[in-house]
Amino acid sequence: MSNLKRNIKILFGIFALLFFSLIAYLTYFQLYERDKLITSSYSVYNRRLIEQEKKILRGSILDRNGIVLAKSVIEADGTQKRIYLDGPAFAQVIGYSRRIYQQGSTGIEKAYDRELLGMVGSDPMVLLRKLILGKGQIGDNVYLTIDKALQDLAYREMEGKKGAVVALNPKTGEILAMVSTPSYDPNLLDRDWEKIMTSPEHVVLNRATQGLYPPGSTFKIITTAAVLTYMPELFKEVYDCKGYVVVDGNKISDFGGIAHGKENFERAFYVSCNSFFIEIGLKLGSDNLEKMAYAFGLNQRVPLEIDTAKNYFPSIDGKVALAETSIGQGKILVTPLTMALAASAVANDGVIMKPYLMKYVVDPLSGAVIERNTPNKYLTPITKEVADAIKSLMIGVVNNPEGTGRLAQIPGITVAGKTGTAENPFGAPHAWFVAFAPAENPEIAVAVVVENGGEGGKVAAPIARDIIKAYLSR
Amino acid sequence: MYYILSQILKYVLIFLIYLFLYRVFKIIYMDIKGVRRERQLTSAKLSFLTGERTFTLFEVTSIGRSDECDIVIESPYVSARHALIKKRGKRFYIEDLNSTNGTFVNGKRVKVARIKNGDIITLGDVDLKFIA
Amino acid sequence: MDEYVKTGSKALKDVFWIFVIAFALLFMHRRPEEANTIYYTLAFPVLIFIVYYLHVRLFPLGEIQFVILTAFLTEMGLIMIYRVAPELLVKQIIWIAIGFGLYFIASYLFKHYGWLYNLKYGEYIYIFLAVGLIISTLFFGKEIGGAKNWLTFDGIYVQPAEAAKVIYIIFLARYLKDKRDLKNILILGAITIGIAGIFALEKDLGMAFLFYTTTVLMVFLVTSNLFYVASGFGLMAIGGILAYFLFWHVRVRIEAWLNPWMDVPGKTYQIVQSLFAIAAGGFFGTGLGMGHPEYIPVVASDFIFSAICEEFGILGGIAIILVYFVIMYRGIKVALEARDEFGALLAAGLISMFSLQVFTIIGGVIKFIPLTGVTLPFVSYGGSSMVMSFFTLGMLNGISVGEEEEDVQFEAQY
Repeated sequence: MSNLKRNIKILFGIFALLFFSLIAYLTYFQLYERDKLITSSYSVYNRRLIEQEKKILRGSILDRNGIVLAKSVIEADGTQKRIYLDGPAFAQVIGYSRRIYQQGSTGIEKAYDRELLGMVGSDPMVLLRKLILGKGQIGDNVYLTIDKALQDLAYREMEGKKGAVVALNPKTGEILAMVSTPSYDPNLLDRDWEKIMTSPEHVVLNRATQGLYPPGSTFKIITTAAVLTYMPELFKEVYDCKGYVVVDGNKISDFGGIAHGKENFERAFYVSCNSFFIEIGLKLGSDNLEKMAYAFGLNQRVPLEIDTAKNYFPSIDGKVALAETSIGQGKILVTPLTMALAASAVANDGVIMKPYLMKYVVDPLSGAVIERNTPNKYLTPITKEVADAIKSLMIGVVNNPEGTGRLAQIPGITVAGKTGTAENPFGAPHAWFVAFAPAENPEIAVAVVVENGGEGGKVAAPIARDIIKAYLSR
Repeated sequence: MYYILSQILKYVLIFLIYLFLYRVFKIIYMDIKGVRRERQLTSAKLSFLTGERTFTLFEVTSIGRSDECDIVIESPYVSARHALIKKRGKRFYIEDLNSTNGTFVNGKRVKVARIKNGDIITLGDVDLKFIA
Repeated sequence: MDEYVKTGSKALKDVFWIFVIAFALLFMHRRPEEANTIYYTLAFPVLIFIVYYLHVRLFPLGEIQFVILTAFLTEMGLIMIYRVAPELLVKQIIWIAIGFGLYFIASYLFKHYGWLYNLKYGEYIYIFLAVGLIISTLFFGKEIGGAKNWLTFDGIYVQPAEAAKVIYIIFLARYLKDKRDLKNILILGAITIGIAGIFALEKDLGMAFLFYTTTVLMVFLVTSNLFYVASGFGLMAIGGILAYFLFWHVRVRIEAWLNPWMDVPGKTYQIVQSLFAIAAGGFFGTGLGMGHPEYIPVVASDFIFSAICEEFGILGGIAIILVYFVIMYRGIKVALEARDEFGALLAAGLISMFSLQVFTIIGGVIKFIPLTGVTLPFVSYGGSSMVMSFFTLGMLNGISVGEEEEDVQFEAQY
């Protein structure tokens, strides 16, 4: 009997554990799963949101200066219509919310769905006040960090090309412009849904955050960071470039087969000599290069409110792979946003700030700020000393008469940059340019990719230059 | 209007639900504490018929020859742990703990029995009077 | 003692006020036209007070908390049923009244439960009855909501498995009281696997799990043998894997649990709607009448917990779990204080089955474990479940009362 009693007490323990695990799971669900569930793309099956959405005038989306980018109006028949005032330039960033048509949602419209529907502020007093003010019928307004003028300029520059532009403030992580081309007019989604979704050019894809490209020579920033951090003695290397290098029987040529002749590290960087960097990379070793690439987040998904693709950085296997990786070729694939952040690390004393798109959310009736993003550190891949050293190399790329990025020069402003011409199996190389300015006190960092555009210094650098110039003279 | 009412009353309802739970758990707490109440004194007494000693009873009182008992009776006819007197509600019960010579209430041998004021309890060769 | 009673009646008053506020709101919201609905609704608190009074009178030493707790649970059930399926309200109130009646009958019937043990050939009678009830639906049963576990008599739907649960526990207690050697445990194992198999054929996975697990727990109680427990759960795992490959409906359940997003409009519709409802509720709920629990399928029976979470928030849901916890605690206490081993086993078995059922359905609808369709005792709509849940607590009350009154019986035995 006494054994039985002991066992019954154990039984009590088991059931107590089971019941409290239910309570713990419910709490966990409400704290961590709930928002994901409500904003997930599966919420098209959540009739509650659809009902709510029909009743509430969806909030507007505005740029950082308060210029309206998207707003909802009530049609004659009582239904709502979403109007995108600067359609194609913002199409991928702002995205769409078409839950009521069972078509899902993307972009800012998806990320801040609850805010736009006025469902945030579960604080009872806020709700009560809204109620008394006759609200509950109007969603909240979302202000972006993007500058409409800059976005429009970037879009104009990219029109007719395929690719992406990302501009951000390296000190805060605020995204100032984010363009992906070719684009589409979101105002035509009702009529052309099928056509837009199935377009062979993938117009819905946000190339700035989801397009994956080999980084090409822009990756030399990371190779250099690894040298300065792990094997600074390599920085003194001098090398005679013949225009190609043979690794394990494979011949890897410089762009256009140009022989750069005798060069030190600095010159190799601004003429973007592949042979030099391959030699350096082979001495540096896979471990050091991988470590630095990971430190820059090249194996991660960059955190952002909208969807981002996971960068792809496979572990380096063998000498040929190491040689290719040191010059940003091989199997590496990164998003333009990632390379903009790499430039911003150099600009911001080695610290990458967490990028963000929403500046604040405002209740339109009271004017009260409901949510606000504040700058946060994301990664610290390099020290200030290393950052400063790379910065002077990048200044050389733009300002040295031999530099590959000469076209990015702006009179009166020191621009620091790095070109990239990424070989790829789909045709002409992708043109890359990453830059920041003014070098002394950086206010903007930019990454430009033009798919199959050719030489980075010729195609991408002028676009970056125009964006930087416009931003700094605003 | 209904919306506002429903919003306010939902907090009232949750409050009432948790007030209810508080009371339910309070009852359990009292229950568990009740077990520990065994050592509390009651107003009832047990005295030797010879009048030499009088004991005040606990909620649960053990009687026997052993030192561990609450009431120790030194007689060879009393077992080491002879009997138990328990209070349940307002009533008192005596329970024989399988003693050798038995427990008697008013001359009748019992296993468990309710005892009332004035009952004579016999343990071995010792007579005690129960005073409620 | 005095404060004990006072706190109890205060708790009952809380139940009453919750009832008044909730139904005042709901009547404003829905404006019932049928007089019947209003009369029956008003009858509910009267019923509770009568039951409470009778219980205090008839069983002064009984488990009065059972009345207070079931009053709360049935009331929460009624509120939600009126929200999602108002036409079922009157029926449910009638079932509750019948349930309380059975509670008292069971209390008296099982006060002296010795006869259950002494009954000649009892063991065989119980197991045949239980298995007979379970099998009956296989031949005469009707398939509702994917499981073939209903009998219909003249428009009244009955779930025989609910009654089989109680009889099976009596069988277990009687069997395990005396037969604990390896051979007999193996025989019992075979019987249980057989029963679980029948349930699996009827596609009633919840019941298969309940019967099987309760048996394993009971075997542990009497043998303290962890090897039996381990092999019991090991076999269950093997059975689960076999069932996963053999039965389509098992596979669907498990896949829906692992990845509820694989087929939202189809196979995983129920669980996803349930999660949406809980998410919509947040901590404090949407407020009565402001949510959309009616979007969840079979919300009045299996998914009623999700509906409560939507309109009362998970704070309401957690309160329900805590109330079940207290019922479980009281049941364990009855088992601990039972006067003999048979009584202890009976009580422990009943409360195990009950608690497991609660865990299975709540865990299922919140996607903590794979979903199996069993009802939430006292809350879900359904006569069989309601009545047998009351019967179970009545038995526990009987066992407890019998123990308290036993003292007097022994008087003057010599």
